[in-house]
Amino acid sequence: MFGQGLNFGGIAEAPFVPVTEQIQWLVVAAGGGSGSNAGGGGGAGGLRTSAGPSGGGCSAEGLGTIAGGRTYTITVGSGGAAGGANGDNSSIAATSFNITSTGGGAGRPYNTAGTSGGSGGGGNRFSGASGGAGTSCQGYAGGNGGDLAGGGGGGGAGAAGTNAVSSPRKGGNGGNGVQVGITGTSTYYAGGGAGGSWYGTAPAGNAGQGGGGGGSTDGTPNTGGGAGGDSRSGGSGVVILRISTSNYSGNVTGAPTVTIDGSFTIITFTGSGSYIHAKI
Amino acid sequence: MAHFAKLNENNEVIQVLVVNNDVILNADNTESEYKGKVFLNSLFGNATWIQTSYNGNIRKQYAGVGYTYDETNDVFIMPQPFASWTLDLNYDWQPPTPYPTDGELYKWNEENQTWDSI
Repeated sequence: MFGQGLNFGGIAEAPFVPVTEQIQWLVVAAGGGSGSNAGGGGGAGGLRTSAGPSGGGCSAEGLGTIAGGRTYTITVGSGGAAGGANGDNSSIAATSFNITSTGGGAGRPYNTAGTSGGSGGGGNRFSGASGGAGTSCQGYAGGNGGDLAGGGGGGGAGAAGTNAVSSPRKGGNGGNGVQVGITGTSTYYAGGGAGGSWYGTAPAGNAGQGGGGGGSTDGTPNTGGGAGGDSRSGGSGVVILRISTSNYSGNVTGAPTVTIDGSFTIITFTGSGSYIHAKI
Repeated sequence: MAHFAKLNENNEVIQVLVVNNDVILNADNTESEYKGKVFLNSLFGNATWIQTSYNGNIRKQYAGVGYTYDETNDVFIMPQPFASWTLDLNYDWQPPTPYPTDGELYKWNEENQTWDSI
């Protein structure tokens, strides 16, 4: 029984104290892929956090409560494939503590609009195809593509992607991400991908700060950055927990990176895994 | 990083996740797809997981949600862009009429089955 010392055959064990703690957390979904043929940039993965502003212009969310003996299952989404696939969701899943961020929308090929997602994908160049919508409190919309212009920029967690422009011809810019200081260092996450260039005869847009890909560049891994047009893949997501070192169990799977910041332990999951809040 | 695609009963990709390389390494530092599948099943419950390569080094190309896994040929196939397009021997979708090679720009018109100048 939690909270009680155990006694087996007269040998007393140290009491196991159930530790309930309010912790900081960050969940960034994966960025979307970019489309071909002056395709739109990939939208950034949705960003939700207690440690700073969440995506889409929202305030920080509440702290997460972790309790002794519980398992916290971490899902880290993979970047959306080139050619128009959304990024995958990232999440923390446990009893009473469930957070899911939505994968970034994709910039699509041919004459199609960007898809919706955590942040929206940019529209393709044809007929001014529109950017996809972002998800409330996770990210912004993608920009529109434009005939004789290029692909729209992918939306970011901190700003919308911009529309492609026709004079001078240029792809839309990816929206910037959001700065979060959960690790002890303020870092940008979830930038949108650049809109693709007009058949290479004009510049692509600029990458969104926070891992967004520039022209024909993948999104940066573990940032949730959207892919830069054309035909690249989005950056994978990341999940970070900040726990008092005195309460950290060390009981993890999935090979996360564990660092110390003052009196806190930072668990950075760049791949899926788990944390069990109980001593091994 | 290693990447794994989750398939539904129709071999369609419904999720793609990241797994750290350390999880799938054998003692001799070679990668084991089997270890990745076992790990993911332990984490999320039993499902069909197939490894995919972000750089497209295996199974033709990096898989995304909506792609299909062709078990016979061990490749991932992109979603069909238009109903009239067909798969070629390299598992790429091709239009009924090839893209014009006159240097002009065109977009596909599915209704008329033509490449329209833009």
